[in-house]
Amino acid sequence: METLSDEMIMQKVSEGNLDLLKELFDRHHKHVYNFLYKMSGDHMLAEDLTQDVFYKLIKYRNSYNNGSFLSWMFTIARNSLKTHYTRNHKPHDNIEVLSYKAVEEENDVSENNAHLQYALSQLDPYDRELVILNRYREIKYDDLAEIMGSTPGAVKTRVCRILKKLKNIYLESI
Amino acid sequence: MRKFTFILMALFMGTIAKAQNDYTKSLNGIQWVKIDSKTDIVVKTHSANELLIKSGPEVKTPDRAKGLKLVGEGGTDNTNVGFSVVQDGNTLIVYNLRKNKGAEIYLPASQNIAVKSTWNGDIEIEGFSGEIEADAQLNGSIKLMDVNGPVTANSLNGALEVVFGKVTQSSPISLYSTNGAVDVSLPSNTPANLALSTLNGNVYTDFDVQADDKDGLKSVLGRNINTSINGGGVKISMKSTNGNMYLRKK
Amino acid sequence: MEKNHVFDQIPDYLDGNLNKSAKTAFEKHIHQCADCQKEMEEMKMLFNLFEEEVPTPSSRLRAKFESALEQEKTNQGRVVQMSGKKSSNWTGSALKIAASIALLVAAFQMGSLFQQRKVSDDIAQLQEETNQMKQTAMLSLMENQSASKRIQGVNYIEEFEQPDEAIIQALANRLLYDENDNVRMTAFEALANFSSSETVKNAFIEALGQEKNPSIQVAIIQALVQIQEKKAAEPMKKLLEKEDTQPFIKNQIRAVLPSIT
Repeated sequence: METLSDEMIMQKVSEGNLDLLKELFDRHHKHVYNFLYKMSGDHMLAEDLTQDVFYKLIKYRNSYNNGSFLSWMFTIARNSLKTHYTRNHKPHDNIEVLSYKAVEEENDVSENNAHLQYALSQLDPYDRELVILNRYREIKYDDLAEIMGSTPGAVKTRVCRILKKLKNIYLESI
Repeated sequence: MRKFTFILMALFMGTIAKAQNDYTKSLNGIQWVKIDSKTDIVVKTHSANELLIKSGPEVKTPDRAKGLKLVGEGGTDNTNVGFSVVQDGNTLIVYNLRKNKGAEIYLPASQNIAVKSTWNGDIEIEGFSGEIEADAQLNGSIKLMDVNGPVTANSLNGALEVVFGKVTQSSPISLYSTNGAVDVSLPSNTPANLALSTLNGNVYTDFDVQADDKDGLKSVLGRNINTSINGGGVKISMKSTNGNMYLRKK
Repeated sequence: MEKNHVFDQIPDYLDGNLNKSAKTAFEKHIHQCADCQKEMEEMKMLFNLFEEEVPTPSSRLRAKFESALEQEKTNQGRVVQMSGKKSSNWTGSALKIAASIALLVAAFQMGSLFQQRKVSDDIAQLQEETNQMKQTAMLSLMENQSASKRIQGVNYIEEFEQPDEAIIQALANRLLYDENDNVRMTAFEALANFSSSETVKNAFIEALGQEKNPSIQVAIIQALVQIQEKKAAEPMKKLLEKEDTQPFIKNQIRAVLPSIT
């Protein structure tokens, strides 16, 4: 099983071998959760939405088109998040709410993490997504470009710039 | 015997009589037949579920080529009629290797076909009820007679002429030409949503349609007409960039 | 040497994405340059922050996922069974049904905690589901073997008031990569309604550089001129230089080029 790529597994899932989805869940649910948590700063929401993402993987397994699995999964994750915010009529980048939530809610989170969360919340939503996704090593620039609807070159330059910006915000905040 | 066949063929072109040098192949499990040719190609229907290639008057192989096979861009002649026929999944790829002679190809009427002419070849397709894709990439013209659609056709310099029988409503029809005229005939009771557009040409029709250009406002994309006929139905879009467009009631 | 800072390569270096020679050059520079060294240390610290374990999702997540999966499997199983042999194992399927009911109950109990806030969203959810279905249908049609079906997929765009980026991107891919001229033209026409989007503009400019069909070329040129896209000047000039560009395209370009440069 270890040797099978995500794409091969998803292919088999779409052919009807549903049990294999467990393997994909094991491999990726933490990443999806982390992405959604870092984007929203809200545990409960991140968990609900992660669940939603995997429901959708189950439901729309037949529409998987053999492209990069990570791109597909994170595209679904982004859509779920976007849908959540449009549905609740909250602006996507409600900075104050998000950063306070992050700081107040998390008693069990280290101070560093709260600062990182704060720094992230200072970025544009698009930049925030880009940099959070970039920090998962498995997501190559090609995937990232596909998810964000851009080109690998442009994404790379952008990521570099945001990382620097993020770092400076972070250093100023501590 | 050969001479006899030769005369017979010349006299009864297009008859069902199977001549010695015809090529047939079963179409079991084939969804699409793709035909690629530099020269004129005529596709007609027959009742057998097989591909039949008639090469017209016998191909003269040069004496020097005795015992050798014709090789072209599309592969090697594996049919002895100057064609390469290869199956790729559910698609049968038929490649005309000869550069100066037309051919007639017979297929069952319900077959989905995609025909491409890459040089001067004219494409003529008659009597099909399946899906048709026709692409005349350079100077060839396209003539589709008595077809039902869905049709996707595109020509660069040649004319595009389509005569429809009853129009299938399941999937859109798209007919484009850059420099040639687009000439389409539809049964007058066809329900459809029409989108006609031309940049430098004119639109002529006896259907009841009106250009939706606003008074004094010239549309940037030349003339665009969007309208529905007989209550609306399948989308039929026609476009000629530099040629005229003719839409006729049949 | 000091002028050639390597800031831009720091992330790649830390992620191990530099090739051997670039890596050697990078390390050589970093040894001599205090600025870059500092930058790298700070970046490393930032990267470590990302790596730090954030609280993991609760076990509720896995439980709900697995019950949803089981439910889907029984749905799937039922379909198979109906078309399958007549002599179905009655006790087996009864057990299966019982098991799925048990799972449903369990899922319901676990879910009920969170039910409250979900109820009010149900209608919106339904709307969203329909959109999702439409989007899925559209995206999969666009991959169909038949050109007419792909055109149908592209035409689905009319169903969306505000198509999201995934749809726009899929349309752009049709415009750029579809082998069928009619599909590319239809994709262009669909995208032309959203020409204020950066993705669309970029796709048009890229397409102009590679498109061979003159009808599509001229349509793209007109769309780009209409939105006064300055970046379109470059590919247009290239088309002017090409021998196989059709004369009417060249005339068109000569006529509009002054207005955007």
